Amino acid sequence: MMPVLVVTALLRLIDAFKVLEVILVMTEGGPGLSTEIVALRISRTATEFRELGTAAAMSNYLLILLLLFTIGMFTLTRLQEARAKRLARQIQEDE
Amino acid sequence: MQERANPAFYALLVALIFMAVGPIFLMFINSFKLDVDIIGGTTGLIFLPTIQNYETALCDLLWYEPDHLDFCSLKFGGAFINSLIIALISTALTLVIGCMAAYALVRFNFMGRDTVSFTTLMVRMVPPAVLLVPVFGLWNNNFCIREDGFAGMFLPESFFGRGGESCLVGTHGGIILIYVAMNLPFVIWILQSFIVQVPRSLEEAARVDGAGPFQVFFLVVLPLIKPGLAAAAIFTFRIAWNEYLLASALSDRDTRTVPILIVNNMSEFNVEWGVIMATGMLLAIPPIIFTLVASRQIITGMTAGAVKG
Repeated sequence: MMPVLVVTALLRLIDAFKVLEVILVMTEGGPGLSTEIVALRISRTATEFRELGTAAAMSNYLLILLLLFTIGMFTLTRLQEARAKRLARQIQEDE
Repeated sequence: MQERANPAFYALLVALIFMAVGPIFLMFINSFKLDVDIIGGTTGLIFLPTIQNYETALCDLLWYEPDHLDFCSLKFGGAFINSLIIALISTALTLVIGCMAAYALVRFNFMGRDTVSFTTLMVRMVPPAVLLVPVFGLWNNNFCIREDGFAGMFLPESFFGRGGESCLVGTHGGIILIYVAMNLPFVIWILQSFIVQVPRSLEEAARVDGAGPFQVFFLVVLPLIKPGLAAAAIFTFRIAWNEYLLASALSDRDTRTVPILIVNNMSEFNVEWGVIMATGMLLAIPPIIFTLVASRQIITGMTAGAVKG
């Protein structure tokens, strides 16, 4: 069960980075900046402050972060598959 | 004898149902209240129900003029039609392209197949906020038809606005295009797992009986992955219907979708809660209908198996 849980948790984490509309509509990042997330910052920088370059740079950072998570998820799945295969082979050899 | 479940289990279940249904119930109740009743603190179920909010929301579709309105400022009907056009066309396009791509990725051997399959999964992780800036820039400045260009020769002069060029931003096509691009990886990913389950011998049998590759795909494989298509259609439609950020950046006054209309309706000085609740209720109807229609496909697809008798 554990491997599935870890992969699901990572998928959910990546999805949680995408949530934007809820925060945008409910609090707009306020009070102050206390509920602001990266995606909201990007969209505000682009649409409110009209600083497209800065917003593009920020979205690159977010992309790199998510890519790291994704790669981590994939390597984890690969490792677990390899381990399962090795265990199966060991059991076969014991018999 | 069956073991009795713990009462705490039922309590938890009731709490979860309350959390899930409560907001929708509240929205339903509040859409029949006047603003005064909503804000006025006299909570409870005792109020005089009114359809005034629905009249305000649908004022550009009604055949009569509501008494309480002197000017129809909320163009809900137009936005609703825009939403329908955009969601339906993008869903259809995504499914057509997605099932073909998934079939190719599963069945054909070509260079870089695994890379393509892996990359579609990676693209799924990109949040819409990352796409916002590049897409906005491209749609505004690069994807344009110039009046003095090649394609401009075949189009009437009225097609071009100020500055002698017509861009993708603010058109239905622009929004549909980005929704198709956003949803394709997910659809391909779902359909791949469905196509893998189609036995290869079934395709070979059809091939032996004299079917061409297209006939094999359209007459043999597609009917078998109908449940997958239905599931993918539900997800795509839902995302295209609810999407706010990209639509808000890419739409203009005539192509505005319903979520943008609702958010724009919340101004700093006056939030018309009743109208927002009414538009929310109306916004929720099409996905429900679409899901019911599509989920019927899932059930019939399961009963109509490949091997009969």
